Amino acid sequence: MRVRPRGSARAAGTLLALTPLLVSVPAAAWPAPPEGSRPQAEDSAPERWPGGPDLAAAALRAGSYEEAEDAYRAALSEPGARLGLAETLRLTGRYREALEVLERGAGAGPPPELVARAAIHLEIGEGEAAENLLREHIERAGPASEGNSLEAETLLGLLELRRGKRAAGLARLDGVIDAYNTLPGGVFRARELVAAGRAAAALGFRNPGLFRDALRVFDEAAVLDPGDPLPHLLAAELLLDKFNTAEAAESITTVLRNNPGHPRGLFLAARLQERAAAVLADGGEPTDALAQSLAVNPDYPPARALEVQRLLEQDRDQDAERRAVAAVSALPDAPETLAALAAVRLLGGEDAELLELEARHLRNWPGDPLLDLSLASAAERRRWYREAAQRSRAALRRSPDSAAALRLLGLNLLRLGDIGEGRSVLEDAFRRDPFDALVKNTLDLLDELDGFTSVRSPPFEFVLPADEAEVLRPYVEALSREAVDSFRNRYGYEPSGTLRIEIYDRSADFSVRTVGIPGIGAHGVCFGNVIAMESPSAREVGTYHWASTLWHELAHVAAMGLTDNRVPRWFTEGLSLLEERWRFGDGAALPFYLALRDGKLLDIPHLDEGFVRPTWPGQVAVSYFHASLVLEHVEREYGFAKILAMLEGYRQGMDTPRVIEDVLGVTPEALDEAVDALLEARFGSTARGLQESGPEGQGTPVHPPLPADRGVEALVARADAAPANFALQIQAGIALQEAGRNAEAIERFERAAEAAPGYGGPDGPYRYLSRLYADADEPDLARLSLHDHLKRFPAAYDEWLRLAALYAGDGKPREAGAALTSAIEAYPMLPEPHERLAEAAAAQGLAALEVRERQAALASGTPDRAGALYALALAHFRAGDRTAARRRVLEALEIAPTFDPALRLLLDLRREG
Amino acid sequence: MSDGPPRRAGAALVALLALVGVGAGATGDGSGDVPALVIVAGVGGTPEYRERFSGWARDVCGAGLRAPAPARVRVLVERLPGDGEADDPCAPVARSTQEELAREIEAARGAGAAGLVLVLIGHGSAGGSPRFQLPGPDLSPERLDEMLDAFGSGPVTVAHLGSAAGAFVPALAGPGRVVLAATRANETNETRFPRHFIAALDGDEGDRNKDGRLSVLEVFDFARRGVEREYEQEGLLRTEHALLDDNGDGVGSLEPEMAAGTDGVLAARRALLIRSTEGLAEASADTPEIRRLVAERDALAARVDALREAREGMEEEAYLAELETLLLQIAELAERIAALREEGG
Repeated sequence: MRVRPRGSARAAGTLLALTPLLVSVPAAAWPAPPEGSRPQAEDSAPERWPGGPDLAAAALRAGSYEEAEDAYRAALSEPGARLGLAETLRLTGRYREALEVLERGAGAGPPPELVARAAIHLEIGEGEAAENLLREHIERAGPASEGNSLEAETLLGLLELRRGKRAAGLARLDGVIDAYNTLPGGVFRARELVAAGRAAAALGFRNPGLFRDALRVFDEAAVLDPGDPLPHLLAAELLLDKFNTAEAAESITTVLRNNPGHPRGLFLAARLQERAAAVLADGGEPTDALAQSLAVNPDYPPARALEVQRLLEQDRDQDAERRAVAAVSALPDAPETLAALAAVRLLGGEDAELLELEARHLRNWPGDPLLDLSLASAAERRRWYREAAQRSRAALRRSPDSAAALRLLGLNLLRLGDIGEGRSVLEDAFRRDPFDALVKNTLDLLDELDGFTSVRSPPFEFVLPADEAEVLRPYVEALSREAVDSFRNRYGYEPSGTLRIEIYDRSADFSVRTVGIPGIGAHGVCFGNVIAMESPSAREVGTYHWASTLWHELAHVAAMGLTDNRVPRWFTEGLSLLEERWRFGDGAALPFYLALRDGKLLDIPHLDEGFVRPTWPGQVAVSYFHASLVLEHVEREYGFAKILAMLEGYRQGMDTPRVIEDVLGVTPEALDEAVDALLEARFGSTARGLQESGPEGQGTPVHPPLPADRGVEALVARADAAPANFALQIQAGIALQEAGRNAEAIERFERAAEAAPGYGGPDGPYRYLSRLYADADEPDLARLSLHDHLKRFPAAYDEWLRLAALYAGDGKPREAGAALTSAIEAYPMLPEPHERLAEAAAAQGLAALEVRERQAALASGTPDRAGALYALALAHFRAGDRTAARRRVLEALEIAPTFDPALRLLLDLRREG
Repeated sequence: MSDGPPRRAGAALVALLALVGVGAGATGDGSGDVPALVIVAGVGGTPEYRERFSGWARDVCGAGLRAPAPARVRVLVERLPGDGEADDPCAPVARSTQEELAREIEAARGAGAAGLVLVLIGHGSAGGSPRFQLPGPDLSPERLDEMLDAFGSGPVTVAHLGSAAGAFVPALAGPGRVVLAATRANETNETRFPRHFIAALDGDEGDRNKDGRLSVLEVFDFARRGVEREYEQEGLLRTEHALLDDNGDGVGSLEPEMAAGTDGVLAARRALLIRSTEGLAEASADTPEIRRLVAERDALAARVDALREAREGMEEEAYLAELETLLLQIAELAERIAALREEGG
């Protein structure tokens, strides 16, 4: 069954017939009178209203609710006024008043008020009352098959589905579409088209073409009644459900352009912002659409539920509970707020209350998966993926056709590492809804993964890009084992089951794998026993340190495992970054200094907000560093055992303030103060130094904005005037270096280093100093500067190579080898560090290392393949593996049959038998 | 520098032609003599580019001169330096005007060079009438084609390393010509190809089969892959795609395959640079006995090439066994050759 397209004779007739209605029926009352009340004379002639019906309706449509209410109240006996007043009251959350207004106006005939009353009951979750009213309306107006009650039939059909009367609901919705398609010569008004669209959308799981039809019909409705927001709202909801944010935004914008105070429009805008936050994870403008929505309608159930959800995301469970309880008190039957409170109870481990809420929901809505989906989403956001999967299954039991439930189940199974069932479930979801972009992208990603190389090496399973597997595997595996050993020793945690590590060579694939999880890091994500991260090849050399990312994610495995995934975001991220810093080094980047200077660091109980709901660009990265400093302080001042005790506190369900008080014996405020003192001591003077010279000192020194009209002397003078200004010293140093005044440049960079000793980033002073010292034939100082730079910015691949060259030139192969190993930890995809490390290994007689590095050099695509194969053969030969040596030398000679050294090796191998 | 098919490459040619069904006498690709190498650094536009282009020209020259059979090299630049060293063989001999270029090409023919290798370094322009920027009138593909015609029928290799180089391919393509272009016709950004081209000439890595001869194809592949890798590492969209045409159809190939009738066959045979005495055809001081052994070795090497081509239809074990047998024979011959050379030397 399909909704007949606009191009058909039937649809064309509808349009033609409706055109005069648009002219003849002014927007006397919005919404337009429901079905059963065809345009009548009184609709177009109520000029007795104070200000006129047009002004009242216009005020309502523009969101001037007080003005609209006054106008409607002044003319309550006029046709349409009662509906308009009720709509005004409904939009502003005065549901009972709205119902009373409509009830007082009830009379004989097929009253539109019945449907309007049902819609209000529906909005506040009073299903039975709504059902009764809709049935009454249909009984009095006649069924849809006779051209009547299209809206009532649709609402009732949807209601029946939610109330567990699946067969009846589906049949009723089928009937609506049949009526739309077959009624002879009938004239549909906008609301009837909207009803047909809703029916089509609800049946889309059986025939996905109906989703498209629904959008088309919504469009038609919007054309017929351009002032009515409903078709736009429904289109936006449908599009949001399918992750089509761009088109959803268009519809929402249309609504809010007409009525900036439309609570549902604002709520959808807030949902849109949620989605963008989930995708982008950082940046973006502060969101206030939800607050605006609640300001207009403080009890709007979906907005109240979203508010609770946000608080839960920020680990503000007590605030969330308070708001959820208040919302349920205001509207005890609204399923959205019941579901939100249920989520609070789930996360709080309050099983009895949860069961009671579930039972309450099921009494009214036995076929509605809303509560289960809410629980699944809440669990997912807390990274309780197993719980999320279980709740998704419960949603499916409630509503077997729910593509949303299938999506949630599939994605969470993938996060749990159950790729087989996850894929199967997502394929099922895709069959029901091929327009869901998230499902489609994930299935595409799984297809991509089919081409990856999977290596099982217990307890690990590595899933690597096929053409990178040979290079990556030895390093990824060695580091993974080192990390697990290290965390076992430190945390006493032994991972259970397989640790699946997926590495993506395309950032887009990584994004698909991680979408929907707010506050993820830029390069990696840990779902528990599943880690997804970017390959070094996904980023520019020197900008991304794959090894520290892997180390970071494996630290999450311990923190999540020890707490049953109950560790809050800030704590696990801070801990992972701390582990990363202990192992690889790291420095504070400029945004951190600026945030410190500007007082933008969050207090500890609110640190999660910096991850999941950043309000300024760069806040996520700054929050990572800040959180790691908090835990560094805890470890230094209280000992690592307290970190473990805090993790245990989280496992037991405590929130952050309680954990701090119970474990550390201080208030969160006291801990904040202590950390502030640490920050002040380590970074304060630098941060203030940035302030001294105003905005000029605020730019990143990477490409300092050297004023075009000033020469070196002017820059030096400015730097002299602000000796503590890090950026100005760097600028002056660069200018002096470019002018060939190296000694003076050294002085400037040394001063910058003194001004910001903890500064990290690619553009710090030590890199410049290392080059200047090397030019000045001061290899020891050059090496020291390189070390200083690299412990603050370990991703600096080129600098590791330079350091290795300095050590090699100084006859220190072991130190050179260590630097080359670090270069590989920064970027393993190029042959050079492997070749050089192999040479260093050969010089030290480390045959196994030489073999590994020769293999990596070969796998990294060296242009001299024959040469690399020969070198590998020689390494095998030296390591005593004659078979491998023979195989490799044959491969070399296959390419280069007259390659003398390889020929000699072949002969040697034969002679040695 | 030799353009002919010396030793192993010659043997390989026989094998290759046999495989593709072309008569061995179908092409003559020059004698054992050294071709002329003419390097042209065009207009830089800024001192920085002028310096860079003339530096690259010098690098190419240096690589050519370091060969065991040094090329006859002529370097033309935008501006002649005032104080060049008199005995510097890479010192520019003239400004890189059209007239001077034409004169050098004629001079190469007059000197009896066995072939011509022309390297263009600089800025190119695209559009309806593409040009390579020279001091004075810029050089059009048609004008360059005329100049090359003046060289006669000898083997000609043109390496246009500048931007929009691909626009020159249709006009320059022809029988016996190998045309290498750093970019497609419409790619006008500064090229990275020259650095990799020079790296191929300078180091050992470009000599893929270790035969001591850098074929045009080896140099092209080395530089092309180097450019690709560089763009990948930097996460940038590639704005240059090198082309090679040697089948005369005027349509350059991005990845020449050396299949019959396609680009790559001639470029694989034509040496751009000899990297070691092993790569010299008839110019070594080897005794007749050594030459006989070398010929025998090269014939075996050609059989390895042929075997490799036939690998798909063979059992793996049989292939490896046959390969090892051939390689051990080659190894023994190589050992005898080395011993004889040591005795003789």
